[in-house]
Amino acid sequence: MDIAGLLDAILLLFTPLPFALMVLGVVLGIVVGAIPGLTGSMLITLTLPLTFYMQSVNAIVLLVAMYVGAVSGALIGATLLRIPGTPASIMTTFDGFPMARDGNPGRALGLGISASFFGGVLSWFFLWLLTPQLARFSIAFGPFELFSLVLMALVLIASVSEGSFVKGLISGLLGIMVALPGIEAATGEVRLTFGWFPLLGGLQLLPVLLGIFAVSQILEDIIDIDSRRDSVPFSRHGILMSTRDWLRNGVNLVRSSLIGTWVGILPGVGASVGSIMAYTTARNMSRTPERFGTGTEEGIVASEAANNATIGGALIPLIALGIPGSVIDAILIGALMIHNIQPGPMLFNSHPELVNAIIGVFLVANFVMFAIMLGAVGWIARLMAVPRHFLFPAIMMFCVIGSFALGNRMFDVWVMLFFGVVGLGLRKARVPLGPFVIGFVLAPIAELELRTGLQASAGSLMPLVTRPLACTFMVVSLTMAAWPFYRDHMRKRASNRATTAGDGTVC
Amino acid sequence: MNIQRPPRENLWLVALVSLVSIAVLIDTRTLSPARYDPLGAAGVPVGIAAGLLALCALMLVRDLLVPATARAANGDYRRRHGLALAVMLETVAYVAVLDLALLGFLEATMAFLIVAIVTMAGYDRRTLVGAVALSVTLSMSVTWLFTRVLFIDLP
Repeated sequence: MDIAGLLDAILLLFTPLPFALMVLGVVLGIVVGAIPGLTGSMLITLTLPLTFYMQSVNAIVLLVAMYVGAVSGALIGATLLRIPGTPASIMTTFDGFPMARDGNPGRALGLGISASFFGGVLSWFFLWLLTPQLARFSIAFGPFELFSLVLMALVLIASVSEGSFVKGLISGLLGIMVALPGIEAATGEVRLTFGWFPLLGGLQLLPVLLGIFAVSQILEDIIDIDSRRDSVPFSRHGILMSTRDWLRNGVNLVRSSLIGTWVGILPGVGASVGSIMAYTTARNMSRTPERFGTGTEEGIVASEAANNATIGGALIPLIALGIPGSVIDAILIGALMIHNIQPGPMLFNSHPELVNAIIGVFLVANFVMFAIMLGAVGWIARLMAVPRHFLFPAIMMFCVIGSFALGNRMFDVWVMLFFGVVGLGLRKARVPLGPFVIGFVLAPIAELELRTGLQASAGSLMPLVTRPLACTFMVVSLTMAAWPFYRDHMRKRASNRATTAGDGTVC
Repeated sequence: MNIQRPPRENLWLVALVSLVSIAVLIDTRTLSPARYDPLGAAGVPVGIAAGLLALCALMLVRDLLVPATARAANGDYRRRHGLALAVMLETVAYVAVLDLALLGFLEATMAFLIVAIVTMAGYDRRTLVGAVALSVTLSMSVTWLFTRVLFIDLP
């Protein structure tokens, strides 16, 4: 562990420009996270073009700060409007909104803010502790281990995504497909361009991301623009947690943060799953499980501690393996690639200052988030009322600028619009978008590793079975792939048995 | 066996994904055979397309055999598909104007923002004034920020 390097990075964060970028990132993240319909992934994607000409450390400071802010800010919408700013805060709505509606909005927000802070800091500890060890361990990974790891990430995210597993897989494979056109890296052969020369360079990450996440989200929000929102007025009363509150919720805070961190580490599994798991565990272990969903403290604490802890957990495979832990992490990988930086174990040797900056900014941004949220949550809550008809066209304009700025060509802007329509279609068909992005980002790595491995093994796929780690990843992938079908089968059998038993009773 | 009617959005998904997969399978036939590894340039696209076709078939079979769960109600508000289409068409027109260089970025952006805001909020004098104020301020500040501060080219 490079303690001196980390201290240097933290000191750097307190110099004017990085500090200003970090505060700006946290504030923008909180605001965007709080406004229903806007998401952290949309904000980070829209910000990518602004970072082209920044130093890579400053760029990553801004983006990680936004990440922390967006996941934390989502609790404001979840608590005051019953609309989670991001899916990660869905569980917070179950208890946050009832508590706020019962006259304690300050208390509900205070619990959420403090839990978010605790979850973030605890997961930072694991980020700092585990990342170098995992990177050192993963240097020994060969192409078959890396290929099977990528495959496991894809299967994992498809299996835990909202909706059906088959649709999750379709989404992931479509993402891979979209990454394939252009000049193929291994042989230099042109493929899947259908004779259309603008496709020679392939489809770039930024226009695809902007289309899939930003444009399609805006179109969906416009469709629902007439939806009514319940809202609770904000009051600061009870926003600060007392020592007794901290002690009373201590076990729940630690347990939920650990669950969040662990879920975050799993490749491809995002904050919403961590939050759901922590909430369910808290309910199962509670002495008063019947109070969950009616405005209990435990529910808010579990959900918010876990969703912030997943950020730290998800940054571990991102830095150590170059594998995204969530959709936003996939975008961060894209950001690093735009700056000609390849995430993965070699990052510790090639750009140690960047590794320390990511670890450092994640810690400091949590403190900044805590201070800003406690101090300015009332102001942020007012911003949620900004008229959406002013907001959406402005975001569309930024999407156009962002796509164009990547390579100064209008083709990318058209690609962005096309994928906006594709994204809306996928949303309407209830196809999760997370696997699409992870597939798009990881496809080139997976193909390259598989083909390198096949060249080394004279065309044999046996190392996928004979090499212990590769075999483990494959077994996990196959188990996760088979699990939803097995679960459905068991449910059907149980349902049939219940029906038969019911018929017997009637007879 | 009880045959169900698959949800319409699933049928569209299966049709479009199958179409894309078939197009990919046809296009990869022109690629040269593998030389350095057994997969070659066509291996992965063919594998992915085949996987997609298999998943589409699986989805179709499951939709036909397993009763669909009821979708959550949309709530008590009107869903504005026409409005979303109108804003999308305005965005396409905005991008086309920029692509064909019919107007400069500043003018095209001002016009787009005013038209899109009025389309969404409805026409009245107050909205129009707000739309004009926002569009002038935003397009001028964005032009200044990108060209003078960040040195990023605009369309």
